[in-house]
Amino acid sequence: MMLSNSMRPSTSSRRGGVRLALRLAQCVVVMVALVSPGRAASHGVSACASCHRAQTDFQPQSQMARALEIARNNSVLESRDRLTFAQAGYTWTVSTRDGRSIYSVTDGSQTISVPIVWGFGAGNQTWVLERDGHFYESLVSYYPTIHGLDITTGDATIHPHTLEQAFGRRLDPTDARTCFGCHASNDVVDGKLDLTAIHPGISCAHCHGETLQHLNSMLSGDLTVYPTDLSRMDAEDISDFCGRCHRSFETVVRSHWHGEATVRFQPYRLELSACFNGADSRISCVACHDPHKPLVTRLSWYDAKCLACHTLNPHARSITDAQADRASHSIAAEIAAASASPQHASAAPAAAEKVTAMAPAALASSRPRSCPVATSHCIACHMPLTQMLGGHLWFYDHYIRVARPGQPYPD
Amino acid sequence: MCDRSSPTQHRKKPQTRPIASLVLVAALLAPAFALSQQPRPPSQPQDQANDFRALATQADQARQENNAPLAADLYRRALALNPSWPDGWWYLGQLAYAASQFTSASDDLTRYLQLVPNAAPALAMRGLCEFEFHDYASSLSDIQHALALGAANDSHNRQILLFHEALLLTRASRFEEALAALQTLARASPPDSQLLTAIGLAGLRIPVLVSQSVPMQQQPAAAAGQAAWSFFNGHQDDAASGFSLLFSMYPTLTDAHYFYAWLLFAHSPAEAIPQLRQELSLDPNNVSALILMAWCDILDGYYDDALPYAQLAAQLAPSRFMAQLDLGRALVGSDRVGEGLQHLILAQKLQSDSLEVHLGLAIAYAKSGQPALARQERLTALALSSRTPVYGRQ
Repeated sequence: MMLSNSMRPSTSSRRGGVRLALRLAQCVVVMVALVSPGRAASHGVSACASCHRAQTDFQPQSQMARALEIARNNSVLESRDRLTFAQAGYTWTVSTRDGRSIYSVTDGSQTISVPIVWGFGAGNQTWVLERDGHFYESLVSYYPTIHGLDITTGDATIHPHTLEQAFGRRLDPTDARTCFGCHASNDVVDGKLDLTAIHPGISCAHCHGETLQHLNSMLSGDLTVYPTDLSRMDAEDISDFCGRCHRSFETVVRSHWHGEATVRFQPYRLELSACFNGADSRISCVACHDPHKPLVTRLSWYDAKCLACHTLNPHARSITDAQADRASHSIAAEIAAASASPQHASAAPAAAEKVTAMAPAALASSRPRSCPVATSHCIACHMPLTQMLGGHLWFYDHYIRVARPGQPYPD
Repeated sequence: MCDRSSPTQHRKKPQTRPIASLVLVAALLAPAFALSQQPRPPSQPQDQANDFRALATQADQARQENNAPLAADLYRRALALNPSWPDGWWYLGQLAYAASQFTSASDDLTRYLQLVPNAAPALAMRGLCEFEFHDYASSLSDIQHALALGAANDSHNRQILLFHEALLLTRASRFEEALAALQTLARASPPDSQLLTAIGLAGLRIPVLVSQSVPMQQQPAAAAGQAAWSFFNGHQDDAASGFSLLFSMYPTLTDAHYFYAWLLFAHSPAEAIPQLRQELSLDPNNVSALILMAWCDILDGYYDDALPYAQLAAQLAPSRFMAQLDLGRALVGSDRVGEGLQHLILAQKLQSDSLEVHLGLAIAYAKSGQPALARQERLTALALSSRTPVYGRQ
């Protein structure tokens, strides 16, 4: 388990306890030298780094740490002077000069322009804009796959009739709190959105909770206050925990969300997998992803995770990165074609009913099998690459399965 | 059930809104039947068949000329010759309905429905008749059946039927279902006093019809209804002011804070919690508030906090599936998986088609080391979710 194993001291060994006390004493000396109480929140991970180097060294480079980019530090926009997009009589422009970006929309006669302060996402980027005391989600977003703007994912059904509607979708206070709640830290005070002390991106306190109290207690020599011990979570709880932002099985099912758009909700998709076992730590979000480090994008790196349960088939062959890439795109195309076919609407529920009717004994009898095709790049075939509605976003489907030719996106 | 053999005993002076509604419904529903079956002569001697055709034609003509007494008499005579003529029963029922002879109309529509089962407009009209002569259980059943068959395809009919459905659901103490119907109406209607009172009665969990409520109930209900109407229409600041006024005017009124909490919950469970605390300070044994309080904590992952509320709710109302679900989820979340599983299984017995019960069972089975059963429950939840597809924003 990678989450904060070092947070709680062991009481089983006196020697261990003495060693821990010495380490903590050293820690306190270093912390006192580096930080003062109250700085922890504003400095994010830096205050925690004095003791938790392994967790903090690479965390600032992770996608989660960069989930929100603010004005003058927006890496997505700083190298793009001018982005434009036109559709249905409206033209959107994002212009950047001297680190300052302006979002504009015009219908040809009138224009609405506001400065971009909040950039959501380190790759694809959507902007939460402020106008007349309200927050708006920009109707267009930046997509690196096209090096330009297009309609924000999920907003394709919005057909603006006014310039205000073309500007963006107004967020009610709950929506705004949800957006910032998953893209920033220290943004909610007494249950209300408060951006005065916001920390862009996900920092230690976002997941670990009372880190400031922990830091202050350490500085005062009180070694009894520790944040919530995430390392005790089982796979089910981890899925639920990560799912608070990445959307859990419960959230998706309760909200009746269906279709390819759900591919981005990895905890939900993972829990659909036959191999998911809420009590088995080999198949959980953190079994494959270290939240303190940047995402590993090399597919073969994950093979070891699959082989923690499955065995290698001596008759299968090793494949190259290029072959895996071709395979994953080929499967993605097949799924897209099957999902677009007229039979899709009736096929998906029937499949769901069939699986639902399966006896528990049949499910229990299934054992991890070895793959007859390949000995590497498991993800390429078993976590099929899936294109989101809108076409600019691709995700590896965390519903781990044998994807059969002609099968639509399983919902 | 009413005594249908003596219709006049049961005829009541209808309420202002319903009488207008009923006449409009009759007028609106009539065209749907104008094109229905032509009179079919019975296989009897030619003279009788000719007599039937003549009477049917005269009846239709009298009806079109708005001579209701003559039309009704002619339809009766035609039906005496040919009792399997559906249109005759329909028009006779409609004429009785327009004349506020609701029991008679209900009998005629019953004869029609025996010939044309599942005719949504006839079910709707019979349901409205039953409402008038106080056969509320039959009325609710007929109106809901009619709605399920598509009787609300016209916006005006929809408003009338939903309003009566909501009144009947409130009377039957099915408050949340009533509020769902009233929410739809509130979004499509101005804040009419009867609508506001109906919303308030449902929200304050007072199981009476608007017409049967007393001023002591109507005044807080109207104030609560006004605040809720604002909430339903997205005016949350007005709603907050309205509820504040209600709380200051009626500081000991039970279920008022729960009502506001219930509205807030759908938007933001965290905002519901202070209102639930207020409600429980007035009535610590308010089962609905206990259930919702526990559920808010469960959704936020505070299982230990949820547990005392869930335990009290299950103790006070062991047959409410949500009380058992709350307790099961809270116990499982507090690492008392075995105990929690028992309560979740009990919740499943109380309401087997609940999505939430299957989600809870999936977690409990996963944590108790039964992955196959956990997967089975997940897939069942998914199938239940698919039955009511809603493609919302994600």
